[in-house]
Amino acid sequence: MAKNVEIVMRTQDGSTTSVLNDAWVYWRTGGNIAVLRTDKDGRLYGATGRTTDWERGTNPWIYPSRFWTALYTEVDLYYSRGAKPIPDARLNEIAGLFHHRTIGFPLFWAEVPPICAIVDINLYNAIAPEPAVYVTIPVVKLKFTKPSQLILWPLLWELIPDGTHDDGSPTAAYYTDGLNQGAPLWGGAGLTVTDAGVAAAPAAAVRPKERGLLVEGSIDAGATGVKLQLLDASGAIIQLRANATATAAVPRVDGALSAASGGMKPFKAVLYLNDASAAFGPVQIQATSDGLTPPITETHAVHLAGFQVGLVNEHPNGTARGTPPTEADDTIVVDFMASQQPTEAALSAQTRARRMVPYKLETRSRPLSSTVATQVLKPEMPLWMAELEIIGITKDQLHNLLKYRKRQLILNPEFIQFDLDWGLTLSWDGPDARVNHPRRYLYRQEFDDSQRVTIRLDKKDLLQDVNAQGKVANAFETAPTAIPFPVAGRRLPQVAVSGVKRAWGRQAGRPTRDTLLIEWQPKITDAGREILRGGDGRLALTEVKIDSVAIPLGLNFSNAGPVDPPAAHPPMRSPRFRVIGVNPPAADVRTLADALVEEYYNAHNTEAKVTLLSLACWQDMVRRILLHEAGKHFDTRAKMYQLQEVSTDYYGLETNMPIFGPPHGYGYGQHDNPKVTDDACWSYLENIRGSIKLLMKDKAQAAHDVISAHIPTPEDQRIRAVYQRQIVRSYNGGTEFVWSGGQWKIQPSLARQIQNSAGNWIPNPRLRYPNQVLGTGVQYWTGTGANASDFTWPITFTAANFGPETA
Amino acid sequence: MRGTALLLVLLSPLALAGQVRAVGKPIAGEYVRTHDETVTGWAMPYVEEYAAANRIDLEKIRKQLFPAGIPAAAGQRYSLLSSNEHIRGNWTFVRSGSVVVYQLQQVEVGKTAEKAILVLYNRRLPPEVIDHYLQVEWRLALFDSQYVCSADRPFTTRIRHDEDGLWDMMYTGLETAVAGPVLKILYAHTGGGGGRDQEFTFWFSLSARPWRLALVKSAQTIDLYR
Repeated sequence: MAKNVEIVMRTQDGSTTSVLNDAWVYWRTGGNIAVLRTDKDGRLYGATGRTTDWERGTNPWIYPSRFWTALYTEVDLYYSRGAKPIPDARLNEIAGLFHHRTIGFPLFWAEVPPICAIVDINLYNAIAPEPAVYVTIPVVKLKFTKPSQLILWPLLWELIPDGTHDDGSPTAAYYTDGLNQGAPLWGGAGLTVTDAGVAAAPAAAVRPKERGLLVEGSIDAGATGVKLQLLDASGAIIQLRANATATAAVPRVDGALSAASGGMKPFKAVLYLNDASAAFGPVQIQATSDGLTPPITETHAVHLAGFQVGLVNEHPNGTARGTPPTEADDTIVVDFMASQQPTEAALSAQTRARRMVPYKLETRSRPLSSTVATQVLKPEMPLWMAELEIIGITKDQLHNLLKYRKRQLILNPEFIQFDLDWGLTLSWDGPDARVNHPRRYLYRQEFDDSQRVTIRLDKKDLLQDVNAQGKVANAFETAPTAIPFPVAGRRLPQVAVSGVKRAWGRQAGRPTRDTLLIEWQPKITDAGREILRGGDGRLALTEVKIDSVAIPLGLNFSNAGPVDPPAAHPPMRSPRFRVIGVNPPAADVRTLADALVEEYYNAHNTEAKVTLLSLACWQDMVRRILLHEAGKHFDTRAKMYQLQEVSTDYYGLETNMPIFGPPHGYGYGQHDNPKVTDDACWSYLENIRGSIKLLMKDKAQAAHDVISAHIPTPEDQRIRAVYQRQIVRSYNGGTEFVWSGGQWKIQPSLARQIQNSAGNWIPNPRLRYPNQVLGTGVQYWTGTGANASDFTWPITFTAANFGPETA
Repeated sequence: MRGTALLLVLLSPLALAGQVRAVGKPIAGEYVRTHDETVTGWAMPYVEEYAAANRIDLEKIRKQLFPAGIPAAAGQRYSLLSSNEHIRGNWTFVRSGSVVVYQLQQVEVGKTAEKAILVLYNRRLPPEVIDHYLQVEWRLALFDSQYVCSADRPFTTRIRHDEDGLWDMMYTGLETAVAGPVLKILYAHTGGGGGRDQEFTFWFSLSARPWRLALVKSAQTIDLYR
């Protein structure tokens, strides 16, 4: 009867024999493979004897039972050192992989590493030496250097080129595919596309491409080639593509070998997945030699996941997680790459149509301010929640990965840590942006933030602080703080390890996968103050580290072969999106303007230039002047516009962007001088507030300076009407009154006549501005106004021409 | 004949001028806090910040330009002021009835990199400048590194449209071209109806050893009156 012996494994490399420690050993007898494990001394252990579910189910590194076999056993052997054993099917398909051995006689005891015996006190203990056999097989010289083992191996999208005129890159086809560009955008009746209408999906050829996954390692210098394949959790082969442009599926690809050094040849391979979304999950990269006898193979365990960013608008309340938009949400955005051109043809050539996700600057009824409780319709930024979506990992898979890392990685980490640098960029070039001028409008603003997120194992090796909904409590090193506007009760960003599914890519209708989600809530603020910004936007993760190491970015496609992404590019970036304005209803603008006037009036109720007119009078005047100006804040259709009184240039006006009037006027109040601020450009509230301040402070001051020498006591309706009319005139430019014969009479400082385009003298049309605003009927001239004698100035200011609300 | 032409070219102020470069530490932009505020000092806020950043003693400059002191501001009157080089997304103007120094710039001149300070100023207060919009004298002064005023060149803007009370805002600019400073003064109307901008540009030549600052050319470069 054959005696049982233990096995101690060794490897042979030329004349050098080494203990094979901490390795998987594949023990094949009778066509069946038993997966065994060596300890630090090379002694074999088996998986039998696992006593708990914990040991049996999810902890394959627990090999509790010493392995015994009979002397003279005929066995085929192979080994590997990866974090996970090579699946049986993959081993069996490689001819000549195993090494046949017959288990021989025990060795001398002194050669075999001793095992401590358990000795009970007060009992009889029989201690006997146990026979062990050294089994030596050839060393497997194959190892991986990239990616690191047991990492979240990210698959990333190639970035869509910028498509802007200021970075030198051409307009990217993803945005423009299927849409006319330049002059063909204009037909006889206007645009040849439906501006702000739904955009058809782009062709598959222009969609962003998945990057190649880089695998590097080294192999025995005797190899003439190396083949790479990916295995899923069950050991099945994941289909690949031969290169970035191939469409056919292949089971494996060839790696490229470099010159041998130190008995090894470096190899490198780039893997392109045939169906990435289906492939995400725990995988093994398997490399197998060509040209070696016997062959060698090795695997490398990682968790393959799709990494991408998303931006969700959680309008209206910000209390529930939304879903990122897809291509089905894209609309057609017509804009101008470089507006203000000398000819219509030149501007036409600059017209561009892009498909972009729109995010609205919505409006909401809110108190005007912390001090003025009047409910007004205020604009607001989208209720954004940005997402890092790590697609294709379940909670259990994450848990398993963390346990593997704890057991198999050198530092035995009990956590996985993400360091994320977020950046949200908003920018816009106004219609006057191309020609360099101090008052032209263009802006670019970055809203950045950094996060450190840690997901931990607890003392029982369970995921720590994960609730039933999959939210990880205390995951953020710096706890996020609530954004109290535009509505109370907005939720905080979360880290979720379950309960979230996301689709890989933007294509509509794609299947979703379990996703590890890390959220970031962009704060569009200035020193904590809520602000509005619009135009083009883009979300990026400018740096992503896992466990303090930058994630592998993969390789971009180029005609010359795979290349590293440009160093200046962020790892992940959303396509450009459009933040568009919404005009409030006119009635709400009136309410808002009234409230803003009241705010200013009450804050300056000790100033004579303010209190000389009633609040109602100021409110009426503001309404009249603002209605006389642009009448809306955001433009409602794209067009090429020329105002010959100002310039012969053509300006490109854009739908849903701040309304523009040459030379540099923006928004409700057409802020031009002073130049419009970023706040007033994007917020109709701030624009109106600025106009009101200009009127009630600056124009009022100028008007008050004019009349201050002759203000009667008590003040009467006449002086109020004079003051009101002087303010209106001052707003449009000039003075209206002179003190003549002991009373204020109308004698504008404006030129009485101007020459029209035909060279004829006509009454200056600006003279009637106060009449137009106040609804009065002062006759500035008689007859046609073509003769100097038609102007009988100064004009007596009669009660019939007193403006409204001056009584 | 050709030699005479060459001599004339060489003797022209532009030819005599050395290469002029703007120098000095850039400012952090603290002045943006003054947006829409009333400035009560005698220098624009970005001037003060630039002086502090580059250790320029503004008081020494003031004593030479206004030995008798800065004129006192008159009551509540003010004008709106801005600067071509300092406009930002959320700084577009200040109000002031007291500012007299609008631009300050350190320069290096010629191969020897002689350092000097250029000061754009007005002897009138802002509301008075506006009052005299038809003809306004501005000045560009040059100080050497020892704060000796080496030149104080007046120049004049003339608006051809007599419309009292129209213009109430001023933009100033000091650019540094190779031959010397280029100054821009722009008057504008705030409010409705368009700015009716009136911009004047002045080209100076500047050379060192000895210091020479000369007005080479001037022009009204924008007239949007209508």
